[in-house]
Amino acid sequence: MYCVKCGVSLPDGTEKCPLCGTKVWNPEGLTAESTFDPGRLPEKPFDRNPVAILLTVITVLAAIAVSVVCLVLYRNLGWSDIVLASLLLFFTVAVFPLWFSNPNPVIFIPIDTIALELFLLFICLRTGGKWFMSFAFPCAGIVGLISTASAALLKYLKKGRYIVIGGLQIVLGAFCILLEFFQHITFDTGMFQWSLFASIALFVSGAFLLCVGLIRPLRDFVNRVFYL
Amino acid sequence: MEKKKWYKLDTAALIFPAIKQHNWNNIFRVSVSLKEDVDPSVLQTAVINLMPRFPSFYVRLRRGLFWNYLESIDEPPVVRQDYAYPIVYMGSKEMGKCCLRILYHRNRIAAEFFHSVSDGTGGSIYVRSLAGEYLRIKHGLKIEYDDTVLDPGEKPRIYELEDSFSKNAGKVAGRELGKKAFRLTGTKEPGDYKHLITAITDSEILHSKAKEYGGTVTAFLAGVMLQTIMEIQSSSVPYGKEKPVRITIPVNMRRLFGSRTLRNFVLTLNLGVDPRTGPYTLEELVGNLTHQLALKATKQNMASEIASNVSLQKNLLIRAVPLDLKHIAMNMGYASYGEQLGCINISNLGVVKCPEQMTEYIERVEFIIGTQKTYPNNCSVASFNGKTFINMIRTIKESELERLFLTKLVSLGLPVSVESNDLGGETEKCTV
Repeated sequence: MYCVKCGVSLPDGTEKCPLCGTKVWNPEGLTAESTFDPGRLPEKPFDRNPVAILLTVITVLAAIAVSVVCLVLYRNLGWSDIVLASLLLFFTVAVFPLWFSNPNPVIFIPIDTIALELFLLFICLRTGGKWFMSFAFPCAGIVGLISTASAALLKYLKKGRYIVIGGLQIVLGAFCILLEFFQHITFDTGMFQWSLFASIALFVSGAFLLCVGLIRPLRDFVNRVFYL
Repeated sequence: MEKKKWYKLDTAALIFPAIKQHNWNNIFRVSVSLKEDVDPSVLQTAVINLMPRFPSFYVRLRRGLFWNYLESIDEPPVVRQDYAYPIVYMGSKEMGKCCLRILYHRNRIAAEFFHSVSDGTGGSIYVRSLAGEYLRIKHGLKIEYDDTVLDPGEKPRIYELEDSFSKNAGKVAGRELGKKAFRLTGTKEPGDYKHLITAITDSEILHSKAKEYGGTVTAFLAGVMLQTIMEIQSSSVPYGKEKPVRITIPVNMRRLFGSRTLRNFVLTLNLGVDPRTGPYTLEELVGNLTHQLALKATKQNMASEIASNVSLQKNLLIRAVPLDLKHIAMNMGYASYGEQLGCINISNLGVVKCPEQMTEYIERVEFIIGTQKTYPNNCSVASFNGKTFINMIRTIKESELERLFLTKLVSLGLPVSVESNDLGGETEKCTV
């Protein structure tokens, strides 16, 4: 048997040419055998990531050390609960995904957002603050939503990255104004002191990227100039 | 209790434990396909019988405070059914038991080696000896042992276990480092899965074709590969922004230095051209590579290359640094220079010979190298009994490089037949 496109000889019964994917005419209905056993996959091809093990051990040791120091010094947990909560947040955000061979950001970013919200709630309650519901909760929530949406779009959309990143910048620009609004109602600071500058910069660069994404000659030019 | 024998890693082998990562390490494979199905119990006996003759192969990787080392093992590796793809990842746990894997599938006996143990030449001597011992047990074959197939009844020779790098290092260290080369890319297959395309061609026609273009088989194949990669680069990179295209060619130094070691004694050369200097014909590429090989693969040049590596290994200050810090430094060096200077490996084992009595039982001998840490493609070549087997391995979905390379060989008048581990059908991929 030959591949009509590549001109290479193939074993009898080959379905498709392994080089170009062209279907091979097989009038006698023969079935070729692979040079390997396609069903036999390795049971456990990966070792645990050594970085994950190392960071987990460091986090646990740091938690134990801080608790012991506080117990020895103050006979109670003292300020160690804040450190423990920070370590837990660090573990969830930075170490936990390393335990997976192929962590999906669309799953891990919402988990990180929930961890961050809980951490902020704890700090707010611990310090007797009144900023959680009117500032920290909506801000962290919106950042989590924007990050999850961008991660999902960038991961699953094969094309249109310029449009996604441009759109993301415009959304971030709008978020800056919202952030200053939450700051204003919570901490009684002035409005439009910094957010307008950041928003305008983000709107302009976002609009430029949208144009690049939508206008093909411009996109080709940018790709060529920046060697993308 | 008998004290276990241990071996220092040779100069080339030191890098491999340092650069391994949690889903990649440097493994290669040599296989012998018989004209009959393999009997696993006979194969297991042959593996056991070879243990005293090849002590440096039956080892496990250990960690010391300052260096890794190889320690002999008591139990030989258990022969296993081959997997869906070659060069399955060998994890630290497995290497802590044995750095050698013996596999069988239908009529094929394959051995996969962690590169710290040996190189292609040493590995092929082991596999041929394994096949010889298998045939001796199975068919009572009387083999006239020579350098290609070693007699299991004999004792290992001291020169087979030597570190030929330290012995043959030159007095002056010298190494040229060029600019970074073009990088082949593609869509990574999930997990550890590797595609393998085996192209089989006639050795005599290939040899005469190489002669026609004024080079050796290695230079000819590397020339065709250079041309292929230059085409891929020109279709994806704007004119004037191309990077140098180089092929990494391992040079067997046994012949240069008269060594008969079974351990590593190979050094790589990165040879190629800069496409910005203008277009090249195949004749020019093959001629260019032949001259570069003649210029660089000399005893003196290689001795100075070895000296650069050995001087680092022997430096007292470096020796006193703990192993993990050494690994970090080696990793950084490897990331900067190790794989940045070439696009793909072409490792040619050459014509594999074995005693006449065995030849009639053997269908083919193949040599497969794994992909590098950052190259998605690699290529290895071995010739046996008038046929040349070009094995092209890849960790990406796209077979563009293979298609362009092999169709070029076909258009040059070489008869090429192609086999694969997934014959166009959808093979279930390893997604762990």
